[in-house]
Amino acid sequence: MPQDRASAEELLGGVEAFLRKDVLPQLSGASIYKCRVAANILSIVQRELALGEKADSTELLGLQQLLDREGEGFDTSSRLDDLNAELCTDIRGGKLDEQRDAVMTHVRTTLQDKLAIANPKYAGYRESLGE
Amino acid sequence: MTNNDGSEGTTPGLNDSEVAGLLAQEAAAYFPVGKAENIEKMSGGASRETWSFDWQGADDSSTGLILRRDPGNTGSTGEEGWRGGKTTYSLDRTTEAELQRTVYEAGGLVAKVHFALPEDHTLGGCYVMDRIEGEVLAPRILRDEAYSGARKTMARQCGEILAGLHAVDPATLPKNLVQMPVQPLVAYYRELLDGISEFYRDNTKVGRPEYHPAFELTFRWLEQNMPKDAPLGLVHGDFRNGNFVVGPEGIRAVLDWELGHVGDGMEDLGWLCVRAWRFGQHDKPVGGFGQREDLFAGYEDAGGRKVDPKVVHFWEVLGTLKWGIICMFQAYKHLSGLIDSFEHMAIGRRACENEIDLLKLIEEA
Repeated sequence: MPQDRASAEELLGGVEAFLRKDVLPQLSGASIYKCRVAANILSIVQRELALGEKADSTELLGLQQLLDREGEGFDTSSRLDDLNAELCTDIRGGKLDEQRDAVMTHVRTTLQDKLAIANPKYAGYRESLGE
Repeated sequence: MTNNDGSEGTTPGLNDSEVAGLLAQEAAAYFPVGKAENIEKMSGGASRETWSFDWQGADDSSTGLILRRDPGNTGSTGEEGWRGGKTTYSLDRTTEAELQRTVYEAGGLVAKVHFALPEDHTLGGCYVMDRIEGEVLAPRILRDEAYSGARKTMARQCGEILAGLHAVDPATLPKNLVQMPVQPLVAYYRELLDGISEFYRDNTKVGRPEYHPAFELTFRWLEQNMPKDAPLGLVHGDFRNGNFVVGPEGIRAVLDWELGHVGDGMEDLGWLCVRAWRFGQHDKPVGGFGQREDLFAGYEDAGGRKVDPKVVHFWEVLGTLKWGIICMFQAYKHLSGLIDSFEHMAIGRRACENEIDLLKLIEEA
């Protein structure tokens, strides 16, 4: 059963605004930095709640295509783990050397989705988007 | 005493006034006449503390000094080993002091060390050196008007400093300096990545490892592009903005020698070009203040070996990988209970910044 409003994102947004607008101006010294980090963490989690599920399903589809596992169902996060483990083992063992371009493309897309959550302002992320 | 990370430590947790008292006492034992004044803790991390004080000698002469010590309760910094520090290649304070002395005697830009105390001293492993006045904070060095002149020449100066450093006679180096040429260094970070991932799988509630295909692609690229037959010599190991004392005329001293080792000097040039040290100044790949051509020219003109930009690029790739794995390690330190710091935990989410940069770096080459 879904929880009542406010939603998880809305709750986090409220706390983040409180930290930035009310708490931060009253702090001094090392606490300023910690408070900023705390507010940033809350914004990461909000973005993850909004974008995480979509990113996971895109990643899984990409992995299935890359590793020739299309049509194997894409419901669980353990599937994502299994295929990622396989991808890493195969790269490490040189099995994917011939398909380097396809691997790079998949990994780049996955990382772009990760950065859209973790730090969308990061210069290297903006560059990878062609900005 | 065994620390909670399994490493051996002999330093009890001293409070600040106890440290100040012991410092005054030890300085008085070392310097013939005078007394310690203005003792002040400048920065205190979980693993490293810096104190500043003045030695008031006879005839009113005053010398500015720095104490660098390990508080000794966690013994863990970004680059130190995990699993009880067994794989660490960072130096204890005694060896670091010895290395700094060697470089000073060879004419390097480094603070003069006055005295060092062994690991089993009440103060913990520590040493006292000259305080070189100037700016250390990288963003200020990169933005303040006062350093605009310094910024113009620093890339070249870095090349000159490194050429001198890499030419230090290996026979004069501390005997227990670790040999870390390229292969063991890559293996070290491989082990760190795998170890952290295994820990997450086996020892945390989440119960899953981490996957970093971009790191795997990078390890593969490193294997295939490893420089051969590099001459071995002294490497600083963390030569970058943030470890420089800078004045309006340029770099006055190089700090933080704890990652010093014997390896390929090109490691220092590559590390200086890693994006993390640019602090937003992306058109200046050398530390956010200069161009590669100037760094290389400074290095060669000061007697360094001919620079192969491809080899420096290799080390920039490895440096970016290192930084990415260190981001993981920062989160690991909190999640494994080594330290209690949510800020460190958040750094784990920055590993992917290095991954996206790595894709570009290994594609360019």
